[in-house]
Amino acid sequence: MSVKTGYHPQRVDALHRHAREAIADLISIRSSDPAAASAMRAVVQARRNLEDQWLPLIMAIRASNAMVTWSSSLLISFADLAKCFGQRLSFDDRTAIATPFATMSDDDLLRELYVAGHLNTDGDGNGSITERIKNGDPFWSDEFPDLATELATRVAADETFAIRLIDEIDQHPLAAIAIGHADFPPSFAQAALTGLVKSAQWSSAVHVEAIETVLSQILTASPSAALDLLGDSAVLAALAGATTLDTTIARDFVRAGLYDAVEADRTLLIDGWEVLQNLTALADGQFDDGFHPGMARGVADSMFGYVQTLAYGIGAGIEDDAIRMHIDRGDSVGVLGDRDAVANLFGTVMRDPDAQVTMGIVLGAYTDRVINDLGASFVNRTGVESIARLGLLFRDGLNDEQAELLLAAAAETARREQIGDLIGFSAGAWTSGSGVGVVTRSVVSQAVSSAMDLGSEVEPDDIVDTSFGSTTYRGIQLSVLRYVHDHPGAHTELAVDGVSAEQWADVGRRLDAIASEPNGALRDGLVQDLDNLIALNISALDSLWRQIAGHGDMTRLKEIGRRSQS
Amino acid sequence: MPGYEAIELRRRAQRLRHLASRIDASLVMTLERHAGNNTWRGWRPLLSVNLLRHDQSQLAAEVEGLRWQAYLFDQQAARLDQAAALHPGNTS
Repeated sequence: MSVKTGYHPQRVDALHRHAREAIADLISIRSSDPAAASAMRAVVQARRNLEDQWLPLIMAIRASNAMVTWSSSLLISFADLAKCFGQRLSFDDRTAIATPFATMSDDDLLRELYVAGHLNTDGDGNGSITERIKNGDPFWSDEFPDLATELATRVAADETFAIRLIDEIDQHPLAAIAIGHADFPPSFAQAALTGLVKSAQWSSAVHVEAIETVLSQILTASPSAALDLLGDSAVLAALAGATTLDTTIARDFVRAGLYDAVEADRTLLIDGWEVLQNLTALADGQFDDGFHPGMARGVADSMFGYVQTLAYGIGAGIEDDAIRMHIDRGDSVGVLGDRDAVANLFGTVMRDPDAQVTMGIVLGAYTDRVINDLGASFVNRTGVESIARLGLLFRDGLNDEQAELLLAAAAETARREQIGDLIGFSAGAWTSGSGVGVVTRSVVSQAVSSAMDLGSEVEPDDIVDTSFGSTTYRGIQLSVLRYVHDHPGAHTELAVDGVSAEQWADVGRRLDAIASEPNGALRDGLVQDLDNLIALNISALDSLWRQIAGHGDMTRLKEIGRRSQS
Repeated sequence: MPGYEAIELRRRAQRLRHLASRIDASLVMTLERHAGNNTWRGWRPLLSVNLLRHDQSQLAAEVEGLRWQAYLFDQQAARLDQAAALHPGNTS
């Protein structure tokens, strides 16, 4: 049976008045006649039921009423209530009608909170509070939800109490954990997170659980709030340097702010850039061992959205010292940092192996996107060289050859997957709970495998060059060839209409073979064979490629060999 | 002339009837008028109203009981009066 839930605020106010008058009326009924004893017991019982059952319910409703402006003429539906403050008043039989916490003073309630947070959890080895609740532990499974509900009610109804709780949040991390078990106003969660991360009590399990609880709540309820919080330099620094934070939660939170919020509202892109600007400054001189893995992976995930305008902002030449921030293809809105600082930012992100693979995937997807966006005009227009600039920027942040190999392998694997559609803020690539979309998950595993292949090639110079620069260069070359092969209508414009049908068929077969060859060394051999075929037998394609490869950035990319050789 | 016991019984009967009327007219007996579906809805309001109705039924039963007891007191007083009339010297 379902029962609709709702109430009319003014009528509840009137009911409150009538109930109190009824109680006073019952109190005034007296009789000492022994024959009236039974009747007087009924009178007392009726009075107690009003005092203990009715008044707490009415007062809870009236307290919640303080948060919102109600329609005066309509019964507020439960759906409206849920919109206003998240189903806090669910009048079902899961919650007790009155709890001991409801009658406590604010001081007593906070004392109860302090004792529960400090005496019932520290070092007793019984697991997290979430686990205690799940396990049905005494207090945590029965009383704590009531305590959380009472805190939420007072926070919503009493601004002074809410401010006091935030001011003392480092003493009451349990209040932040309560956010996961009752419906607090969103602004309280944001304020609680700020206070908790700034207190930097990363060695306290309760504090860390509190931070994780609030991060989870915010990233789910409001990605734009997550972006706001990342915009706070102190919060950003604390999360970047956290030592014990859950990686998945931190990653999801960072991505929610940097990517999901902007995906939902593109006007927030400038806020996202400002976070990256702050992060660039943070990485300069600190974090030699990298950011917290969650921060690193969240930033890397988000680069799918930022990479187009990042490449646009690198500037006309790689020697340009400043990398500028762009909202679109219009004028820049500021400087992200000088080139070394931005390279260092991505290097710091890529200290984490997972983030490194993701950045490689971003580069590969971007390569595919640029070639397909430019179409037949890639010969004449600026664009292809931006791939080279971006690749060089990423590469310059890395500090070892193995990392370069992994980045190159991930980029090449992603490029062959033709996942250019993931680039931008409307791809919805990051909607899965794990934070890695279905397509990119498969790319990650292939990329790691390819990197192992590349890394195992110990013969130096007599085989195909597997350096980052060479791999990226070849990737661009193959993407161009694939585009030209797949678009016969562009052949005249590209001046390759002299290539015979047999030659195109041969090129197509070879491209397919390269794309499907799992072994890196064999694939490189196939690429070299294709190079030779074009150079010696298909002059029109050779000429086309030389036009593209003649750009300075492309030349530099090709010339970057293994670090040991450079 | 009525004896003391009969007078006391009638006084008690009168007090019980007054108490019954007082309870019958108490505000709690009409409180549900302000607690209908146009005021609140849901499981807990429903439970609260049901609890109120139970209390009202109990009180109504007690009101009937008080009035019945008052009637019995009056009957007893009347019997005492009759006995006193038949035996004038035995008034208590």
